Amino acid sequence: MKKILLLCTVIMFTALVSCSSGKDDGKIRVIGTWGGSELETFQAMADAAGIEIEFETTRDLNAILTAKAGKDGPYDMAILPNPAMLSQLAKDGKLAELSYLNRKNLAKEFGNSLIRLGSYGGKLYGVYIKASNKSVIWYNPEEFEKNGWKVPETWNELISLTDQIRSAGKTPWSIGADIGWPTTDWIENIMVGSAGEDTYQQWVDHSIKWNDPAVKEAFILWGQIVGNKANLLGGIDGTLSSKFQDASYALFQKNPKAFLYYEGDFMGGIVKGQIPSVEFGKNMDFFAFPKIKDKSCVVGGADVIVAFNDRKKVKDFIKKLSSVEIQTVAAKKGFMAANKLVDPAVYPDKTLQKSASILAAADVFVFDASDLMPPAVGNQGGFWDKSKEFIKKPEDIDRILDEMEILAAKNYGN
Amino acid sequence: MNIKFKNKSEVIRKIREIGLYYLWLFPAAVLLFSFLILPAIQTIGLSFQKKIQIEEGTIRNELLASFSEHYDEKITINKNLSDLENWENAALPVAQKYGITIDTTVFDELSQIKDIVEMIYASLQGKDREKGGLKIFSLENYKNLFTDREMLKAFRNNTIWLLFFTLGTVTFGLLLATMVDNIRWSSIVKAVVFIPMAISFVASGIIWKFMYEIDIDTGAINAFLDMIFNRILKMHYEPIAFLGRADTVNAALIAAGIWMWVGFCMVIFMAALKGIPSEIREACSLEGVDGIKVFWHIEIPMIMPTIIVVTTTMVINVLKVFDIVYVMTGGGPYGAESEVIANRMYRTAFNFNNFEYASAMAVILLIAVIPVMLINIRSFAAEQKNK
Repeated sequence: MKKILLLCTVIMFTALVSCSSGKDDGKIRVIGTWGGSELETFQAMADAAGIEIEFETTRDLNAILTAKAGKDGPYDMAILPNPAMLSQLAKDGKLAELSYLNRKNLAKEFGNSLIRLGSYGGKLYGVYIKASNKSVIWYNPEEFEKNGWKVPETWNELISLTDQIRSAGKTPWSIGADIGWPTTDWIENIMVGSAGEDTYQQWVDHSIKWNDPAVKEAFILWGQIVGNKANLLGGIDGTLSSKFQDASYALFQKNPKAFLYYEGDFMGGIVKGQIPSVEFGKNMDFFAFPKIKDKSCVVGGADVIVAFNDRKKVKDFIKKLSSVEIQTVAAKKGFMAANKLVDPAVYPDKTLQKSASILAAADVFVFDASDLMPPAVGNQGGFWDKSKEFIKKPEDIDRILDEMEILAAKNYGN
Repeated sequence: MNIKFKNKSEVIRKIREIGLYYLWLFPAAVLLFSFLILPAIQTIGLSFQKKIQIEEGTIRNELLASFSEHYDEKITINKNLSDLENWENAALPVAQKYGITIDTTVFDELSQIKDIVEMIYASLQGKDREKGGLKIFSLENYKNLFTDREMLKAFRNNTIWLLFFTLGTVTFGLLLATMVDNIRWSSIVKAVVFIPMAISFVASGIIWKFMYEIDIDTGAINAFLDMIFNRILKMHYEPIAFLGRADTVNAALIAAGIWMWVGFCMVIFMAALKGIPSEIREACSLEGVDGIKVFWHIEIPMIMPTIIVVTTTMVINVLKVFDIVYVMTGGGPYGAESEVIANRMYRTAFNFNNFEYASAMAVILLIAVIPVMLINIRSFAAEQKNK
C-alpha cells in the first residue's frame, strides 16, 4: 500500500512539474520588480541584443527567489535591486558563475566597486545594468524664487532653510514613508556625511555596533528635520502612511503643499508621469544632498542581473548586457548606465545629465547601506521599520538602536 | 472469523463491495495524504529543528585575527590581497580549521580579504547542503514565539481581530439578513452587500488603501468626514491617516475585513431564515407578537446551529488573516503595530529564509484552529442527527 501511495504521489508531482516547465522554447525567462518604463527599457535592451525574453514582474522578489531560484527553477535570470540578494543567492549555491566574463577587463568599464559588488567569494555572479543617485533633494525653483529662498549647500543651511519655510507659516518637507526604504536612504546620506566613508563601511559590515555614537548622531541629525511635526506635510501620521511617489507630487502641483522632498534622481520620471506640466530646470529641479562635514558624498543604488544557468543564450545575453553598446541603448531611454564608457551626452534629459555630473563631482561614493546588509537587518522588519519608528518616537532612540544591534548580532553572527 | 457465509459467491460479492469503497476513497486519500497530512507532519518536524551552521561573521573575525597576527598590524576586511605578501600563509590556519582548500587562482588584483571569507563560507555551505544540512532538535523556535516583540504584537492583534471581526461580520450579517427582505429594492441591497465577495481580497485591500488615504483628494473616507465636519457642520477636522497611526490601524483593517465578509454571512443567514416554516411566523402575527420578539425568541433560537457554524467559520478565517494586512500595511505603519501571525510567518519563511521558525508559527496557528474546527464538526453532526 505504502509503495502504491508513494508511486501515485510521485506520478502526480511529475505531472505537475512537467506542466509548469516545458523550457527551451528559445525565450529567456527573467524575473524582477521592474514594470512600466523600466521594463520597456529592458525590453529595448533585449531587442537590441536580438534576444527574446519573457519577463515576470513581481512585487515580492525576495520571497519568490527564496522558493524558486536555482539551476532547475523556472527562471533563467533575475534582476536584483541590491547586492545583498546577490550574496544570499550566491552563498546558497543558486547562481551560475559568469566565468565567461573577465573581471579585470570589466573593472575597467564598470569600476572596481561595482565588480566587487557583483562578486561573491572572488567569483563574478552579476552585471550591473542600472545605477541611481540617491543623494539629491528636489525643489520647485519657481517657488524658491517667489519666496526668496536659497539652495542650501551645507547641512546647517538646509536646517535654517527648513526653519525659514516653517516660520513663514508653510510646511517645508513632504516625506512618504509608508514603506521603510526612503527613510533608510535619509539616514545613509547623513551617516556618510557625518561619520565619513570608513565608518560608514564599518557600519555596513557590522564592525561597529548599531548603538555606536556615530550611528546615533546620524539619527539625531535627522531628528532636526523629522523631529518637528510642523516640518512634515500631513504631520507624523501622514508621513508614515503616504507613498513616496504621492509625497513628491505635493511640491509640483498647482498650489504646492510642501517645498522640499528627498529621494533619488529617479523621481523625475515619476513626477512627470503624474504631473505632465512639470519641466525640469524650470519648475522642477534638485540640488545635491548638502555637505555635513567637508566632503560631498553620494549614496547610490544599482540593479544587477544574475543568471541561474549556463544556457548558451543566457551567456550571450549577459555578455551583451554588459557591453557599452547595449548599455548605451538603455541610457538613451533613461537608465543611468553602470558602464562608465557610456557617453553622458546620450542621456535623454537634463535630470540624468545633472545627476551624472553630481555623481562625477562627488568626493565620496558609497552604496546604499540597507541594500548591503543581510535582508533581515537592512530591510523590512529591520532598518526599514526601525527608521520609521524613530519618526514616531524619537525619544526612544536608544531602545531603537539597541534592538537593531540585537537583530544585527543575530544575523551577522558576530 | 465466525461469520458464516452461505456460499462462495457471497464472499466474493462482499469483498468486491468493500474493495469498491476503498477504490472510490483512494484518489481522495492520496490527495489528502500527499497535500495535507504529509506537509503537516513535515511542518511539525521542522518546527522542532534548528540549523546549526558556522556564521560568516565568525569566519570573518577568525580570519581578521589571523591576518592581524601574521602581519603584526590591524588588517581590515576591505584590504586588497595584492597589498599583502604571501597572504595564503595568513589564511591557511583558518582554512585548515574548516577543512577547506583555498583556490588561489580565483583571486585577482580586485580581490580583498572579504572574498576569502566568502569563499570559505560558501564552501562550508556547499558541504552542508551535500549532507542535507546540519540540524538539531531544539525548542528554541517555540521559545522565540513567546519572547519576540513582533510575535507578541501579532498575537495581540490576532486576538483583537478575533473579537471584533467575528462580532462585526456575524452581527451585521444577521441584521442585514433579517431586515433586508422587508424593504424595497431588497435585491439591489443584497447584491451591493454581496459584491465584495466577488472581488479578490487583494484588489479589495488596494481599494481600501486608497479609501483610507490622508489626502482628501484621493482618500474617500477623509473626504467624507471633511465634508460633514468642515463644510456642513463648520467644525474643525484634521484628516486622519488611518493606516499611519498605531491607534487606528487595526480598526481600519478590521473594518475593511468586515466589509469583505459580511455579504457571505448575510447570504447564509438569509437561507437559514427562509428555512423557518412560514406557519410559525403566521401564528406569531395572529397572536400579535411584535417583530423584535419574534427575532429574539423565535428566529435566533431556530437558526442557532447556523449562527454557530458561521461564527466558527469566521473565527477560522480570522485566525489565518493574511491578505488584508499584507496588501494594506505589511504589518506597519511601524514596529509591527498591525502585524498578524500569518503575515509574520510568510515573512519569516520567505524573506528571512527561516523555515524552521515559520513552521513553529504554523503549528501554533494549527493548534489554535483545532478546537474551533471540532465545534464546527460537532454542530454539523448534531444537525445531521436531528434530521
